[in-house]
Amino acid sequence: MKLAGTVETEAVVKSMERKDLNYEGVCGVIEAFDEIHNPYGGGWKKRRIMGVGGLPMAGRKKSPLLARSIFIREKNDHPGLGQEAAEK
Amino acid sequence: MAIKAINDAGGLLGRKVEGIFYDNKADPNEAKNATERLLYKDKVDVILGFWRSDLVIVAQPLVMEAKKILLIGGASTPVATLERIKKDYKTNKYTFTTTVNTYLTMLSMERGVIEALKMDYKKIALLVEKAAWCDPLFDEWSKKYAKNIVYSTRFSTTATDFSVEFSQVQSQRCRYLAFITTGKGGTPSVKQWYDMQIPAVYVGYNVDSQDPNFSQVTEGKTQGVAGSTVGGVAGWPITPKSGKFYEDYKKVYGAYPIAYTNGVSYDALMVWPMR
Repeated sequence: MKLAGTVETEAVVKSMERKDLNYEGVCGVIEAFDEIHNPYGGGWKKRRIMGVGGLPMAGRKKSPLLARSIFIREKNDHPGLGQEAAEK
Repeated sequence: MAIKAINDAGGLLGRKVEGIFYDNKADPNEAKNATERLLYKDKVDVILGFWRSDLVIVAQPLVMEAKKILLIGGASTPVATLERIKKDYKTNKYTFTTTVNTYLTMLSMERGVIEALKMDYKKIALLVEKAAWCDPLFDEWSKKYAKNIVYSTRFSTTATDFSVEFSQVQSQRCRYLAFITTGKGGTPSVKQWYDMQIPAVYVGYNVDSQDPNFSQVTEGKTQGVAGSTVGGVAGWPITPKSGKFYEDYKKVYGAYPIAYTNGVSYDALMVWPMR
């Protein structure tokens, strides 16, 4: 990505490391990049993690195992996700 | 879409963003060349992308040496996203990622293993691609579930024929098949698993299965396949922004995105106006 002008990289790093960054994106919420810059896996503040996996897609029926497994929704406070959604 | 959205909103700090794109062809040499072109010919300010871990492992030192920002949007190897930064923060502090690393992906997949063991699926087959992101998973599970894993192997990311491996799964009477791939074997493995009538549930991580049309692509042979994903599947509202993004994407490109082209990459760019 190129910007029309010079970017001061050190300032960008400092800015990215700020503790009050709060970005709600398409696939999750970044509540600051932590000290090791990995918002989800390496110490993402609240681990309010992304949504679901193992869900039946169009034209596919749900299997008993599918309905019971593979959901990572700890502390996910967005409604309509996870087990309940899979069972609809 | 992200660049247009940023520029339509006035750019970054009032400056327009220009995207320069190269295809690294999932090849480490191509990735190295493309990274060098971006850094020294195009003189970019930020490099985003890298969906394959083995490529970002090669490219990261080049970007760090040039002291440019690297925002990883898919590759999840802890080597790049965690270990190098912790080991040498001063050199690698320009690295950021908006995706999970393998340790967390592993946790999500492990839920399947735990559930399966509870349901008396005691014999596990572990089929994992030979890719950097999978190394921690393979090593840890091999030790942790040694009692239950009766067959394990690593296969090439370009492999498309798993008949030998599946025969082993069958002969070892495995009932749980943990199949983990981001490579070319995603769709063929599911079809082959179905066609060979392998009597084991197919669970794990399969990037191809994140395609909303995967059921059609595999002619419905996905029944019984369960997998984890990074970044979500089109149609599932992880955040209030997800649904609108999926629909907007479809309007622009004519189809829903797979996981890696949705939030993982889009968010990696859109987080910039937030800083």
